[in-house]
Amino acid sequence: MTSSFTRWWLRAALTLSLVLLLAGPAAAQKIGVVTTIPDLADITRQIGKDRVSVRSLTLGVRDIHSVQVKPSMVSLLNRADVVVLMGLSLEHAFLPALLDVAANPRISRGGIGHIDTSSGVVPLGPPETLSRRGGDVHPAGNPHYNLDPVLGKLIARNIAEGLSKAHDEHRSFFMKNLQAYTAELDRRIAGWQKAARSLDGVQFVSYHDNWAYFAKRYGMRQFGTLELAAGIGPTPAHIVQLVERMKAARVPLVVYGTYPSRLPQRVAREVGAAVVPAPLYVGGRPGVDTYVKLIDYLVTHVSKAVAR
Amino acid sequence: MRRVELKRLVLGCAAFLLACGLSVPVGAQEPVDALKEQLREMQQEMGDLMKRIEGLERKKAETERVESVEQSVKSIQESPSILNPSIGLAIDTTFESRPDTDGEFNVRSVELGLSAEIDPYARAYTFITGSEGGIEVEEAAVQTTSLPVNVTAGRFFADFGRLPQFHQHELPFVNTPLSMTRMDMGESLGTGIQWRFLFPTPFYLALTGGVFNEIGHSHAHGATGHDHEGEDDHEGEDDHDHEGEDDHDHEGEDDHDHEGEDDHDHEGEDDHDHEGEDEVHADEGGSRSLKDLTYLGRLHAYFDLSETWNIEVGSSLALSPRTEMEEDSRRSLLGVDVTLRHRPLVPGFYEGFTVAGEWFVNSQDSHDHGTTTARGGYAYANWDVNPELPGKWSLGLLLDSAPDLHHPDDTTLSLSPYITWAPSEFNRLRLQYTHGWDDVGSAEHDGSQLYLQWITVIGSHTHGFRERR
Ligand SMILES: [Zn+2]
Repeated sequence: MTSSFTRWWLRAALTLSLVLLLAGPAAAQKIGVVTTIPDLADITRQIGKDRVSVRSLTLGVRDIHSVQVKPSMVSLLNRADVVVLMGLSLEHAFLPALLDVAANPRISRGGIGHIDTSSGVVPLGPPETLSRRGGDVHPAGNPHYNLDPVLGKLIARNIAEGLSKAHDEHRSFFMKNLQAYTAELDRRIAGWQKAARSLDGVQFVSYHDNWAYFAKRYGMRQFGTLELAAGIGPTPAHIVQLVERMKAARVPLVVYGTYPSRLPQRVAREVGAAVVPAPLYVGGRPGVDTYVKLIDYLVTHVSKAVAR
Repeated sequence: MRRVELKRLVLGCAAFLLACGLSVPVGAQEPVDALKEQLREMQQEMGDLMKRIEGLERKKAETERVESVEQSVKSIQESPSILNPSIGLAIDTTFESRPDTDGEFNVRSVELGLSAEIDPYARAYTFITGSEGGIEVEEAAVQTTSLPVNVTAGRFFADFGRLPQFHQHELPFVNTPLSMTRMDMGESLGTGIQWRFLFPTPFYLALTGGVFNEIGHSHAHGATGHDHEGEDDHEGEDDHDHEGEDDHDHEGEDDHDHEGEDDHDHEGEDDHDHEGEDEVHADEGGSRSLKDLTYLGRLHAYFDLSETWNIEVGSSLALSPRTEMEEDSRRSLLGVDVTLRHRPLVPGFYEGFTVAGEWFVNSQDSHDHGTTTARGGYAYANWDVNPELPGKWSLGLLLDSAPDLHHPDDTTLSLSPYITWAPSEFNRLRLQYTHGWDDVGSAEHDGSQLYLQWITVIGSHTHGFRERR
C-alpha cells in the first residue's frame, strides 16, 4: 500500500513537472518590470511605454507597511527583468525575503535590473536613535517621498536611467519619454504650486507619517500622528492627549489614507477639523490611476477641505 | 562637464576679442582707446564670471561629496550585514496549567538567529536555541540566492508541509499540534541538502527535492549518525533512485545489522545507482548507506483567487527506506496542506481570515508487524480583528487529531480556542485554552489545559518567505 502510493505520488509529481517544463511560456517580447508600489508602476509605464510590461506587487489601497507576502510575488520576481523599488527601507519587511527565494540574480541587490528610486533623495526625519522605541518601520528616515511631485521627477529620472542601464538599446527612447514626462510634471507642478497656496502654514494630523514630503513641498506643518509611533498603532491615552492638543492649537485638518476610517473621523469630529480620506498611492481611490492624478487629487481635495 | 565647456567658451571669446583689438589699425587712436576700455571692462566681467564658475564648481564638488557621504550612510543603514550579520533574539515564555501540573513558568526557548549574505551567490544563517533541555544548533544552513534552483544545505527545516517549517514561536497558537509531533514532524528539521525549482508558470508552482539524514525533531536528540559529515555527497542523487527502490519493496530483506553495512550484498536489490555510493560510504566506515537516508519531495502551488482571496496547496512526501526507529522497517510520511486566506480591501473591525489545515498519513512497513498506517492532522481558523484597542488582535480555534503511530485506532483529540495580542510586531501575548480527549494514555494531554505565552523579539527579525502567515 505504501509503495504503490509512493510510486503514484512520485510519478504524478514528475509527470506534472515535465509537462509544465515543456509547456513553459514563450519568451516575452517586452521588458518585464515589477515594481513594489503602483506609483512606480505608472511612472515606469510613462518612461517605457509599449516596450515594458509592468506589474506592481502591491495595491494602492493597501498599507505598504503590512504587505502580505504571497508566493505569486515570487513568481513575478522570478521572471522579471527589472525590479523598481522605493528604497529607504520602505520594502524591508517583504522584498529581501522575496528576492532571496526568487532565484533571479539580475534583480537582486547589486544586479543590473535592481532600480532603487531613492537615489538622490535626502530622507526627511532620519531616526534620532537606532532603537525601536520610536517604532520600526522607518529605520532609514521617512520613505514616503512619492507624495512630493518634485521628487516624482527624480523617481522618473532614476527609473529612466535604470532602465537604460539594463537595456541600453532603448536608451534614447527612454530618455525622450523622460523628457516629455518631466516637462509634463513641470507644467503640473507649477499649477499645483498655485492651487496649494492656501495650504501654506496649515497644521494637520495624519494617521501615519506618510505626509512629510508633501507637507514640506506645500509648506504644511505636521502636528502629530494618530498612531503612537511609526508602525505602532494608536493608544487611547495618546489619542486623548492628541485631541486636547489639537483643540488648543486649532488644527484644521486630519488626513488618513489606507488606514481604518473610524478613528480619524472620530478625532476630526471631536476637534472640529476637516477630514480627508486621501489616497497615499496610485489606485488608492477609484479614478486615481496615474501618478499625476494622485498628486492632483491630493492638492485639490486637501485645499478644498482646508478652504471650507 | 558643462562648466568646463563654459570656461572654454569664455576663454575663446576673450582670445577673439584680444585678436580683434590687436588687429585694429595703428592710426585710429581714439577708437582704439575706446576698444581698450571695452576690453578692460570685458576682462573685468570675465574675471568675475570665472570666479563665479569656480565658486559653482567648488559648490558642486561639495554637493557631490555630501551626496556620496549620504549614499554610504544610507547603504550602511540599509544593509548592516556588510559589516555584521544581522542578529535577532526571540524569547518564548509560557505559563502552563495542565492536568499534570497546577501551574508552572517555562522559558520554552531563547533563540539566537544570525544571518548574512556570503557573497552575491549565497547567504548563510543559523539559529541557536537554548531551552531547559540545553543548547542546540537548531538551524545552520547555506542557501543559494542566484541559481535558477534554490539549493539549501546544512541543518535546516526541510520543505515538508507548512507549519512543520515554522519555528515554534512563529506558530499561530501556543503548542505544536500533537498530530505533527506524533508524526515526528513536530518540526521538519533535518541535516541534508534540498533544492527547490520554481516552474515558469503564470501561477506559483514549486517542486522541492531533498535528501536528509532524517527529518523530524524527535530524531535530533536521539540515536546515532548525527555527526556524520559528507552526506552532502548525495546531491547528485535523484528521485529515480528511490523510485527504483520502491519496486523492490523489501524482497529478501533478512538482515539483522543496520549501521554502516553495505547491505546490498544480501538484500537482493539490483539497483546499480546504489552500489557505487554504498562502497564510498563503506570506505568511510560507520557511515550510513543510501537506504538509511530520508528522501523528500514537495509540490506546492499558490493561486490568487481575487485581490482579497488566495489559496495555497501543497503535498509532501518523506521516505525513509529503512528507519532507525525500528529494525527492518520502512517508512513513508505523506502530508497534504491547504491554506485559504482572505484580506478585505477596506479593513474595519474585520481585518482578515485564515483557515488552514494539514493531514498526515504515516505508513510503517516492518517485517514483524506488517504495515501500520496512522492518519492524523489539524485544522485552524484565525480571524484578525481591530477592536480599536492598541496593538493587533486575533482570535483562533485549533482542532487537532493525533493518532498513536503504533496503535492508529487510539487518538488524542483536542480543541483549542486562543486569542493573540501583539502590541507591536516584536511583542506577542497569547492566551489559549485547550481541552483534550485522550485514549492514547498521555495524561498531560487529557482534560483542560491553560496556557499564557509571551514572545518577544529583539534585533533583526524579518519574516522569511517560509514562515509567512
Ligand atoms: Zn511609513
